[in-house]
Amino acid sequence: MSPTPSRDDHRLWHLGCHPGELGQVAILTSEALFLKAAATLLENSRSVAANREFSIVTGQYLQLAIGVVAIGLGAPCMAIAVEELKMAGISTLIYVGDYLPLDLSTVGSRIYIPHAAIRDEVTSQQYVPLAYPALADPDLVEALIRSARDEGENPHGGWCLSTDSPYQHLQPAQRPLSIEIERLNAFCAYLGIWGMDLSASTLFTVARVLGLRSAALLHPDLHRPEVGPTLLRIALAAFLRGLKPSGINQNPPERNS
Amino acid sequence: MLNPPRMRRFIHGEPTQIGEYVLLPGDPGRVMMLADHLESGRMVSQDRAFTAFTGYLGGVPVSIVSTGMGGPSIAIAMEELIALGAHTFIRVGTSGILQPQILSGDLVIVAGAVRDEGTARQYLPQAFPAAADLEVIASLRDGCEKLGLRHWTGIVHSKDSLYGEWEPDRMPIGQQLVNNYQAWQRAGVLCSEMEMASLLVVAAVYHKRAGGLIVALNDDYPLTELCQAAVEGLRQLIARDQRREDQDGDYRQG
Repeated sequence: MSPTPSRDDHRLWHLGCHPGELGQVAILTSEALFLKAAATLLENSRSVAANREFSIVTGQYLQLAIGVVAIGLGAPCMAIAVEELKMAGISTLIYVGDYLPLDLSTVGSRIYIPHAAIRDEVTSQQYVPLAYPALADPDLVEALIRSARDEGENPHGGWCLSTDSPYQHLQPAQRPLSIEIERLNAFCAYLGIWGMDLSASTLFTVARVLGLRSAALLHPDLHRPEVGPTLLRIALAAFLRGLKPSGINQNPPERNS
Repeated sequence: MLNPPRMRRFIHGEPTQIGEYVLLPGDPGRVMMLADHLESGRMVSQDRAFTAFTGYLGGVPVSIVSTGMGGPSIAIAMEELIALGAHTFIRVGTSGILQPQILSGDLVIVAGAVRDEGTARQYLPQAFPAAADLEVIASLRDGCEKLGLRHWTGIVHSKDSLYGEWEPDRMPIGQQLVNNYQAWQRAGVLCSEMEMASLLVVAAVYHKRAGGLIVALNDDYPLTELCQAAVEGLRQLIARDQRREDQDGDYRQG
């Protein structure tokens, strides 16, 4: 077993920041462009690291110290980010990322706040067996929902499908595993699963196993200029709502009262 | 179809005799303990492990139905209650403690369950979560807070083999069982019981709401607080539903 890697100057191996540099809460995002939006929303914002697909902006939002971390795409990147953010001293994470609507005929709110996820990715299975549920922190989900409504949004909820191979789910025909993929798609259609992403289930599972609180705030059109600031404001407002002490995901757990 | 459907039912009654809100203790002997907290009511059905009583909470019909032990038994109860029109299910159960910080008698509000059992797999693959409804979780927490009871919220473990937990060394796969329990403990799982995973997955398949309030025990312990807290939680949930009827913009849980 090797010791946890860090740089010679104690910076974290991939994130490139120092432990303690980010405060206790962080926003993770798959969209690096959001760091620019974050820099304008935060006071005293500064870029603290940029390494591979990981880059970090820190600052304060109404006195709350916050790190906004771009993490690249997919479950393995998500797990690395969650591990290193725990090492950095973070206790609560909101992931702001994108999803593909599974039922393209449905019209409705575009914001999606899943409270649980289907673990169709393998990274989380290297942490804990599939029998373990991928659950967001209910308090953080509730805080996100309220903050989204304050922004005039009507978020959609439920479970999301987190998969390693979205293109296969969109085009299962002629794939070597088409029968299995179509079967999973049929289950999702039966349950009314609203959308598919790459790493919500990894976030929920790995964060919980490491004793962190997490939730996801998803939107299908991250490239639209107004979307980034809106999502970031919702996430920041959720952090400020003041979460009840939770026994949900603390390991070892803490009692509620 | 291997057998004609509806050959036999275990919960006898008409839809009008069963409330839309149901509390589900495992033990038939606990039905009347819960029924004591309702305003009035009467016994609807008694057959095998399934004892069904219906009364009122704030004028709303509520049923208390025992499920027996294990996934297969609670899945049968769910199937029949859903056919009778029930839409909200709260298990009221007991469990063994998996974390040293939890004291005997502490209440656990179920956020989700580890699917270490077989019944749910005959409904949905294991990658699908056994997740409780957010409003049920919030209402049970409100109930515990109102009564000032010690409570935790988190993931519980659902298994099929009770003696595999109690006496793993006796089992041919004993070492595997011990390793698995250690993994669940390290993943922060609060306690171990036998029905939650099946309940949550069956509810999801039928698009119904479900959750659970479980007392963590390592010894005989009076279940008075468990019953009070379950009824208070349900009261909070019914009030929430009634408030929401005046509002729009529901957060749809899909």
